[in-house]
Amino acid sequence: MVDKFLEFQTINIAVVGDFNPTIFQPFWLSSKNLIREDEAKSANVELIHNDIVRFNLDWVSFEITRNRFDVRCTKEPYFDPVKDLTVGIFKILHETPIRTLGINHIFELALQNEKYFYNFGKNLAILDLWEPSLNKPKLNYFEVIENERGDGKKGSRRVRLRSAPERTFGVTLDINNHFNIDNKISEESLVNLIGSNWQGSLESGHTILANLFEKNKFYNE
Amino acid sequence: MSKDNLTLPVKNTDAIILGTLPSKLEVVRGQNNASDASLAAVQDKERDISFITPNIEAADVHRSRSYFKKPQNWIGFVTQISSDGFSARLNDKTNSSTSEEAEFDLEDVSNGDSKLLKIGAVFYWSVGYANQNGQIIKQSILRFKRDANMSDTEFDFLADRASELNNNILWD
Repeated sequence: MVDKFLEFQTINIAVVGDFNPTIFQPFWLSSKNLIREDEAKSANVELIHNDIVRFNLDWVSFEITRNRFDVRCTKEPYFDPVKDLTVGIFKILHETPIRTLGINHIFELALQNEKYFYNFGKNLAILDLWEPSLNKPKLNYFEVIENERGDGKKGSRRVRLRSAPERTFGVTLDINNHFNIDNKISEESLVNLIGSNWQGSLESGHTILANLFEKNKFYNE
Repeated sequence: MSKDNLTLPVKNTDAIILGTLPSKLEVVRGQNNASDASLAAVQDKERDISFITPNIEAADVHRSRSYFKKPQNWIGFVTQISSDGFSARLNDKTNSSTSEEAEFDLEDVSNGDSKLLKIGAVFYWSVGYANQNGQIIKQSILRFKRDANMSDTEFDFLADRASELNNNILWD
């Protein structure tokens, strides 16, 4: 059922810590054998500055500030290479202080018609409560959090839904899979955390989406 | 020109290299220390504070309509190499219990990955539909796994661990 409405998925790995942004450049990645040399040559470098670096390759975009490392990819075949790339970077920068990790999934959905679109929101929030105070109220944004993860790991998850006007009857489901890191030195804790949670995180993202669709039943009304 | 009031006269693909910018960025950054993906708004705010509308948005391929739809994904392990191709065992990522053998031409390997082609090498192979700014293209993507070179510490750790496991094997 989900496949019918899923346009594409974005993966995002966000690491909060203390970084020197200017280290992160395409030719540095290539010199460490983490990307191909021709990818470094053809990288689209937008900004290199002491406070922020932004560039993208054909399959992954980087944004690094002094306290945040952020990579994202909209092409599913490259999700595993994005993980390998991140793990490789932090194996090399093993003394980087790290505080939190987010393995985040963003699902871009198109609900096909106005009826589905309205029902999807109506089944998430009781819109009747807002009538007649508001004229034809609709849900625009919705957020659910858990205080503690169910898998015993330190962290939490946050799910956000918002309408996506850039697509017809578009909805974006954003799952923030957040891990706290006790050991503030990155290599073992961060690399292991990514490695041991990568596949589970991908699967749980799809499970959250599939369960939501199954229970919402917007397409059955 | 004040550094706080920089206009960036660059094309999309130009690198922008600036010196130290006494910025207001920390004010914005201090408001958010989370690991979620929704910092775009904050980052947009950062740019708004630091720079006067640099034309970098249009260059961001990941904000354009460039994505991959419903691919079939496999993880492959090279089992044999010949003069014109290689054989591999493929594990279906969506159905991990499925394993199959396949043959690939050397031409399927990108030049930048050719040095990685060895017996036992791991690669990712996907077939699906790419959407490039609205144009649908059926694509096959083969990419060899890359990893950072192993550090001496990591090598020693793994060697010790292998030795430990070997010593713990109880032979009949």
